[in-house]
Amino acid sequence: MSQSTVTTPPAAVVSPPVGLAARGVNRAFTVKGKELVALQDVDLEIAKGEFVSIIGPSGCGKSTLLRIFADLLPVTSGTPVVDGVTPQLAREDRRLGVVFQSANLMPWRSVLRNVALPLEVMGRSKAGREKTAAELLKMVGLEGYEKHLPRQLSGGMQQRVAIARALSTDPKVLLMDEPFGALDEITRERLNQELMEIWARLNPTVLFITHSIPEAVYLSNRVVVMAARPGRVVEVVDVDLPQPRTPEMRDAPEFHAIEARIRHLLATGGH
Amino acid sequence: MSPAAKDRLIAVVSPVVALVMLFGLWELVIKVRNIKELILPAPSDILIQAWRTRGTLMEYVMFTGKEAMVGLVAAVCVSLFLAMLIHGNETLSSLGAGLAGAGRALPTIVLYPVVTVFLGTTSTAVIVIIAITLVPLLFGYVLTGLTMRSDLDDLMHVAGADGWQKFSLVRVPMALPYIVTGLRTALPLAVISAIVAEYFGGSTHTLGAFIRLQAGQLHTLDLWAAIVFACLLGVLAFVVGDLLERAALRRRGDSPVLL
Ligand SMILES: Nc1ncnc2c1ncn2[C@@H]1O[C@H](COP(=O)(O)OP(=O)(O)OP(=O)(O)O)[C@@H](O)[C@H]1O
Ligand SMILES: [Mg+2]
Repeated sequence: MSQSTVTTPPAAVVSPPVGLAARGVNRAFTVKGKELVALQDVDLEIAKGEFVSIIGPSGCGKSTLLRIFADLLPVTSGTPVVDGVTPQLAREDRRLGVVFQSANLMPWRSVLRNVALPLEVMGRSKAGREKTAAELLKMVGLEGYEKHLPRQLSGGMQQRVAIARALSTDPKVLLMDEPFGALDEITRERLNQELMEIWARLNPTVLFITHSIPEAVYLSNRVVVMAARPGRVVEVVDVDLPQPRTPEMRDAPEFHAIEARIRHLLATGGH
Repeated sequence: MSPAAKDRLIAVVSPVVALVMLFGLWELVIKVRNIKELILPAPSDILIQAWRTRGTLMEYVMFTGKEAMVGLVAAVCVSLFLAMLIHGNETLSSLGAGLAGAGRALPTIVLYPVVTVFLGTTSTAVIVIIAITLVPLLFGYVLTGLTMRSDLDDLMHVAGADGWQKFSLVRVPMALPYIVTGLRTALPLAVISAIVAEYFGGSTHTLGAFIRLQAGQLHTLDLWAAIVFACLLGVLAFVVGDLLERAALRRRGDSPVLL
């Protein structure tokens, strides 16, 4: 032990607090006796409050990485960090919200009670959780649908419910796995806009998986481009567009330049 | 009239018309060929006899129905208990599912003589054999329902749910349609098992025993009258099961499951 007075090392002062990080993360699966490398040496640092998208071909390990952060899957080696702690601690501390491609609602529960589910699990009182759920439904534009059943809503509305539910515990980190993948283009762009506004207001760290290049560019501070076999990060592309994003930016030359860069990386795998 | 209502009307009317034609033909053949009542009575005579002896037959129907219900309730309890016990363990669950499948394929009713060795030809023996017949079926349905995996499991995990919350908030509601369909399938089977077991022996105040008795004494008309009431009981079980399933599933917007 050093005798010198304990001071915070300078590095910790300048580096921003960690929202999400993967440090040398590897994950392999054994399929029919053969080893399949889903993630190889993934290094990623995402600051608190940052919006980062992941894009890459099918099977490149996007969902695998998200599931590792959600504490749904252990790593083979390496260190995942969620909001400065391990995924397990972050999950147990209710700092995580997840949204999947299918809205994943309970068909037997009303919209309001679906949104309130994580709060119910936490043990929040009925009155308290339903108040929060009603406010969140208002935020995602579903005021008046509290008593509806999920099947009475369109796909886009169901996905809004899933987002409201993920936000119910006021998570520090939002993990989204192709949340708008099953929606039509118009609905998708509208939900992009709403998600932007929610992010600007609550400022969680967001990891957003998508197959759509314009969606990734429009939403993100940075876009992680991945390649498959083995699953790995090819490059992290900065999106130097001003915040807040507005629909007109989709037509700007800078926007198209970044799109083209990502398209090129996806096509070549970084070579 | 809406097309759907028309379809429903056709669905109800066409079997009725077919049955009326069948019975009409039956009646005609008996009357024209002058067939003896001992061999095959005419439908009209059967109905008259059924009506004449309705007091006794209803008593038997009640008794048989009660045995079927008690056997069914016992089977439901055993199935729920067993499935809840093992559904968390993957190895035990697949073993249980295999056994349930095999159990459904076996003619468990032939175990009845074995049961009577222990319990005698009593009403209890009938109830026990009904339960033995129904458990593989019901247990299979409950277990399938309880072991259904879905993305909701992941969601509950991320939300930090404990074992009891995962069970009560996801497992049970997911299993419900399976349990209800199991019940619907088991209801008529309970009645059939009851009558067959009673036929082999049991309380004499039952439909099955009455049928055996009348058949043995060549009281063909009484035999047929009892068959009429047995059919009515079977239809009642079917209708009750169907209504139960509709009522339970309509509320949630699920469709019935078929296994
Ligand atoms: N539980 C598992 N068992 C075995 N292999 C798995 C498992 N989960 C994922 N894999 C494999 O790991 C690789 C990465 O899968 P992953 O689901 O992360 O891909 P993805 O990038 O999300 O693809 P998509 O865009 O199609 O969703 C795939 O080859 C997949 O088959
Ligand atoms: Mg995926």
